[in-house]
Amino acid sequence: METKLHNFLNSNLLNKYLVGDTSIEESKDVEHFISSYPEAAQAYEELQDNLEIVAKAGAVEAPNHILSNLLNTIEDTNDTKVIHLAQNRRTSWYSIAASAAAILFAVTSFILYQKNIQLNQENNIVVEEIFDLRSDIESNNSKLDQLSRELLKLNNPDARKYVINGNERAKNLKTVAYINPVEKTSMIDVITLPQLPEEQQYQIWAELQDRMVNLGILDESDRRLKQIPYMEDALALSIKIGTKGNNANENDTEVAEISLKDK
Amino acid sequence: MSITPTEQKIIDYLQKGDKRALNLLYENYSNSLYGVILKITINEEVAQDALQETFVKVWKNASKYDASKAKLFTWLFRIARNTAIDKLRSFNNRFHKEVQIETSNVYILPTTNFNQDVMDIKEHVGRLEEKYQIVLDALFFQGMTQQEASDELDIPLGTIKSRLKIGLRELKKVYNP
Repeated sequence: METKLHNFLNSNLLNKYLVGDTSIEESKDVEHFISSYPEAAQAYEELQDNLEIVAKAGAVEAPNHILSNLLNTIEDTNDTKVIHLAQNRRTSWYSIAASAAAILFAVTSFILYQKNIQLNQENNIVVEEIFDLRSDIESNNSKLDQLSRELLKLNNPDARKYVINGNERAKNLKTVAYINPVEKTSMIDVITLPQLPEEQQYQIWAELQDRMVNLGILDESDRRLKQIPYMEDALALSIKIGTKGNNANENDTEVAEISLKDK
Repeated sequence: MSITPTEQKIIDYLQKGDKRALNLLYENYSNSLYGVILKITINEEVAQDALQETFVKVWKNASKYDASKAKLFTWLFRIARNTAIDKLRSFNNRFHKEVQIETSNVYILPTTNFNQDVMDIKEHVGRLEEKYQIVLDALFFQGMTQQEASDELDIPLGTIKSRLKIGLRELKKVYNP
């Protein structure tokens, strides 16, 4: 500690502080020493006394007019203060204007923020709708493709058309079969099917030389062109009413039949 | 820190914004401060301008004075010295002359630059031998350390210390601040 104090007293820091040449940090250091060490405080006191003595020794009579100038300057400064007050008043108007502008800005920002949220929501809805529309387009394209393929098959010159009408048991039954022996494809278009009890269903059969082959079920909901298995050497197609869950009974009641060998 | 009754009265007036403070300040300190300013600026016109500005600053910054940190004269001295340096700098700039102030914070004025004619040292100061005056000026007005004064004046350090001691002792016989 004593070394620290000794170093401090031997440094020029106290002299610099005396004449006001120290930085803020240096001043803090010096003031710390002065408040902490009586020796430093005493040295500072002594330096101050010496400074005043030396300054008095080098005193030069100051001109008297400076005092009157000084007092006039102070008066002017006081006058200026009045102007300052006016400026302050002006400043307060600026403050009000600035506050109003700030409030306006805040309100506008809030409104724009809300609008932005709303637009974002609308944008999301539009994006979802576009997505749905795209999937609809894809679905429609797919249906169109299928329809186009079916139309191609129907328009094929090799395809033969067979209109199958129901007998007296199912007078309203009407279906059309398209069979292409070259490409070996068969399709059936259900036009009308009379209503059946819950446990019964229409089945389509192919009649071969020695046996009957079940080609599938016809449903009221199949009101469109439907692909059925192609049977080589089929003599006729027939539609029967069978029991649901039993597709292998060739003795079911036949309601419509058409020979494939007529054409 | 000891305060004389006059100093206390001045401080009271200053803190109350009483203009009588300026009269008392001028009466008690203007000559000392003018001497300090003149040593720095050399030029009488600049010095008078600086002295007036010093008192204006004192008046405006009266509330900043802290008696626990510095004696009244020390505070006045700092303001006067800084004002003088600023005035000298702007004066030199105006005439495109090289500024004598170094980049360091300490203002060091070569001893040869002292204009003894305008210093008007009083009779009792005149009695102080020049060798003591030179040492005191170097230490108090040029901001030199004793070692720097020794190097600058080419006087041994021990001699600097003894001349400082004797010079101050002689001055103290005349002044009793």
